[in-house]
Amino acid sequence: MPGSAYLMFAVYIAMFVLSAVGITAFVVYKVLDKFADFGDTPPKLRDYTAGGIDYIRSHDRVPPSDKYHLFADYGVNPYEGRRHSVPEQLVKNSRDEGEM
Amino acid sequence: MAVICRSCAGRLVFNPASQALECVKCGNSYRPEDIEDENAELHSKYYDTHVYICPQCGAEVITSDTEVSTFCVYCGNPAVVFDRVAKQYRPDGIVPFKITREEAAGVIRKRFMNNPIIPKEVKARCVPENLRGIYVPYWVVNAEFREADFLKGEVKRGKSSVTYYYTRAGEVRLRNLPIDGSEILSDDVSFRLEPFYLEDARTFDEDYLNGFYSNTSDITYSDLRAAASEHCHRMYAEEVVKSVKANNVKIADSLYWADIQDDPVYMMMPVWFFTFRHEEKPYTILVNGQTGRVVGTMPWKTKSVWAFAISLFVLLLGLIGFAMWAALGRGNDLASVAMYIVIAMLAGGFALTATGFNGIRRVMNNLKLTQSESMFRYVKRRQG
Repeated sequence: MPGSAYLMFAVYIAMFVLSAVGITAFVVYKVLDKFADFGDTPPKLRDYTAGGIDYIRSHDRVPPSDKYHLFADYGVNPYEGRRHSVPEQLVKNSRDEGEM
Repeated sequence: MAVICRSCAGRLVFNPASQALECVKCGNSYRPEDIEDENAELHSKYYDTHVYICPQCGAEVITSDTEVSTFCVYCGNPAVVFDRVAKQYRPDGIVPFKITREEAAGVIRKRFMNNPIIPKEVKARCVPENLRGIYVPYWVVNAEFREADFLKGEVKRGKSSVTYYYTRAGEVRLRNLPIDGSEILSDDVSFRLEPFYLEDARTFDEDYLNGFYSNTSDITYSDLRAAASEHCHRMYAEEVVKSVKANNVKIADSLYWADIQDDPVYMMMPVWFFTFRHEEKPYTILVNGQTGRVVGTMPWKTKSVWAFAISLFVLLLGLIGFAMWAALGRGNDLASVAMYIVIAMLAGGFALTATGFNGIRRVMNNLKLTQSESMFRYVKRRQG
């Protein structure tokens, strides 16, 4: 066989091997997921809110530079400085850890 | 604290099936709220517990019942050492166990035991005697949450895909969000135990603890705020990705904050722990004591899984090779069918590679969380 034929043969073999590896990995994952792993359905936002997300900005197909405008407008903690009453157990834990 | 039967002075243990305290000697039963606490005033803020220390992993095992057999519910070490009697802050509420020990063992057996890849010795250990009920401390909070996201997604244009960018900023108010109040459980594990339904919650009464272990909240307020922020982000991110009409949508960058409203509620939530060792490694499988939800990853027969994977790989390779050989035959219908099979297998193989390897990696990560020594080392990834 000429050199190019050997190369083509090697490429075909590599593709077959990669394809078989891919399908094997997928089947093994499905087997482990079904038989050994449980509880991977996380809770949903709707479990804890009636109204859902209230979007204050929702822009599609923006230029990459829009990221800086987004974080300039909404990149600051809006709750900074708010004070709340803290339960005694948490106060005690903070004291034990030397936070207070 | 009333823990003895009025009729025979026998020990009272809470039975999740009847939701009552039952005497282990004469079988009399009492509703926890009907048992008078003679030191109610003294106990209004605190309640007494017996604290044991596990010399192996350092965990504190807390029980209000001195007769509960004491081994570490976290790592399975059978020799925990009594440390002290301690006064603990009284939680605001408790969700009593609804699932009995036998039911919890049955749920695990049903999920794990009838399959060929779990080692026999692990199956043999899954008996009710090896399960321990523990009340895990949670903080139930109302929170405001804001997140700003920069996302990217792919849109088909002709035969190729174009990447577009999207911006989202939004707010959400959450009610009754449970946040794990214990350092010892990783947030990844406690997150997967949800939901807990607060309709079953009762005012805290230490009589509910009889027959079970408990733990106290050891996190700080800043830990709680950070955990709430991370918890909200996980759920919010899933929704915000759905709001973008594109394929393969990912959050490229995000910032988020949570504000916990006044007076988080300190609750005890019921969890069954099934701890065992296999090949020198500890494992902890959890069952939500209210809903029966199982969380954890069982060890599997590594050799069997490898043998299965190699056999499948060789079979697939042979199948593709045979189909290719058939495809190279000229001038018959079989050749074109074989060529379609080759193309389909190649396309399928390439398409499934990422899903397969990512899935295996996720299962392996879950396995590491189940191995409780990892659980201890696991640093809670909290942002805020």
